[in-house]
Amino acid sequence: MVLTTASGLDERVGTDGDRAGSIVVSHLTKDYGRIRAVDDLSFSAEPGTVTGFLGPNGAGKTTTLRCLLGLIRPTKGTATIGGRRYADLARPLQTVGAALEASSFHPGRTARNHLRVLCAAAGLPDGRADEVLGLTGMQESADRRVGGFSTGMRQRLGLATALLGDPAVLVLDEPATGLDPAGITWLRQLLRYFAADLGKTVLVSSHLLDEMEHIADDIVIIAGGRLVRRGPLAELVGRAGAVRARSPEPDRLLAALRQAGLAADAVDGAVVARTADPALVGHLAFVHHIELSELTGERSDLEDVFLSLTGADGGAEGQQP
Amino acid sequence: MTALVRSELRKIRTTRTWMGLTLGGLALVAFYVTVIVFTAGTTDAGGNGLPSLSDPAAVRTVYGVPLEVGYLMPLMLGVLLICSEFRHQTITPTFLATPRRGRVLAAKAAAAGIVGLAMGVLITAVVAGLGAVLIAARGYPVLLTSHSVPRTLAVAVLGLAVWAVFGLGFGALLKNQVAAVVSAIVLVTVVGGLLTLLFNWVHLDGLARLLPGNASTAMIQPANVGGTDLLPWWGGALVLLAWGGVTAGLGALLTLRRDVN
Repeated sequence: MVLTTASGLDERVGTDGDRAGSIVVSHLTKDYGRIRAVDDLSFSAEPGTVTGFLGPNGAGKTTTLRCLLGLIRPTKGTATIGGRRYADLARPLQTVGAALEASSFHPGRTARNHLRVLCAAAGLPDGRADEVLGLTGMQESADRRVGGFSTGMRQRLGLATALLGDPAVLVLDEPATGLDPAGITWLRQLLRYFAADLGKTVLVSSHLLDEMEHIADDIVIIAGGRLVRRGPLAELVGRAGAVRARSPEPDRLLAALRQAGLAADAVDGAVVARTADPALVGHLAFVHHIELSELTGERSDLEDVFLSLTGADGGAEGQQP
Repeated sequence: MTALVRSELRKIRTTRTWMGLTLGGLALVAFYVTVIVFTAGTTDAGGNGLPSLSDPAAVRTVYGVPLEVGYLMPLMLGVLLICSEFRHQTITPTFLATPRRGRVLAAKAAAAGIVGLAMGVLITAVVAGLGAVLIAARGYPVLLTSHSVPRTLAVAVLGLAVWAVFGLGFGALLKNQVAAVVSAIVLVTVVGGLLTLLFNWVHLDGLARLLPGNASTAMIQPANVGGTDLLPWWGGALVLLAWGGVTAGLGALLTLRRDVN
């Protein structure tokens, strides 16, 4: 159990705070009148990783991201990118790419023109508009007015907007909303590629844990504006996830899984491995030429963890002492 | 800054709003020019005689139609330039690209002035052309090159650019598109007219001529102004520009600094 809770956070923020491309949110607080939307929130997101920013609707995710991007003035605390406030960035679009909501387009403007308006403002060549439309699979719709776009297409155009300046930092608010299953898979691969292969910092919010399971390296969970838990996703998953497999040769499968370093037991004639990744178990079986008749990921435990962490009654576990 | 102005001009060019406003403006001024030319020298229903086109000031009134009614279109262009960003939430990508909001507003003011000037050229050219043809058709001298008519036309072009900047400032102050469009028109026309009557009644003509509508009218030096003492044409232009600067400045201070949710 190495999950970092709020109490152990300050040292990490201090050491990583000045690294180029890292996002650091420090003691961020935002009040709307008497309502405290974000409450002394601190976390960081590092280059080369996808950080999942999780919380139920109304937890303060969007407010936090808008503070980070200089759109909302925090009541207290700071949010910086590479040690600088967003407003102090010399070339903001070339430094941070953001996609906040799926509706910030003029309905009468075409997708390409939406991007070209921003190219002009950011000093980017107009050709960048077509490049990012290609990257997001939007070439066909480049000359269509945005007013006729589906939510999924708007999400893609939002992502294209974020990629316009080829920034090292990406901030995406609920980017999977409105995407079809193929689109979600595509988004996962793209975000993994940006973080793992290109070394970008990717901060992506969601209210659904299972959306994050195959994308995020680190997670930050908030509820009611407060930090509930943060740390590598693998550690939370390792604690809670399980994969159930059936095979004509259960003993060989058990041996193979244990050999690979997984905790595994025989339960009711099936093999249960303590991992959240069914693909890993399938792969090990394949490598050892073991036939599988069933392979099921049991994620309900993980959902329970998320619900208990963010729910009204169970939030106390990870909160500050 | 040039890049930001280019971005703002591109915003205007890539939607059809400017086209609708320009066509609407042309139709409006064509209607007014026609009505003024064909009612000149006649007696209206109340028995008041309208000045004849033999009076050069009456001819200037025809050529001054851009500043009497045509200004509504650049005014709306300026209002929409900022308010449609809030309405369609494009203000978020705009401020993400340029976090210094004062620079965004300055670029918008420049773009409003440039497009307002272009609309001014087009609208004034149509007014001059149509006015000359109709005045000649009624058998009066067209006076296109004398009696301050060239200045009236030039001032009309500039005046429309100033109205666009004023609209931008007004829009920045109100943010809400519908509220800004409606109240800009109502304030300048109805409320401006009522305030003029009130100021004249209490003998504060000095204040009345500082109202945007009267400042705009002053630029034409028309024939019949209902007893109001108007500024010289250049004074009207400066006062209107000051209104644009004050509203834009207040907008930058009061509304644009607020959180963008």
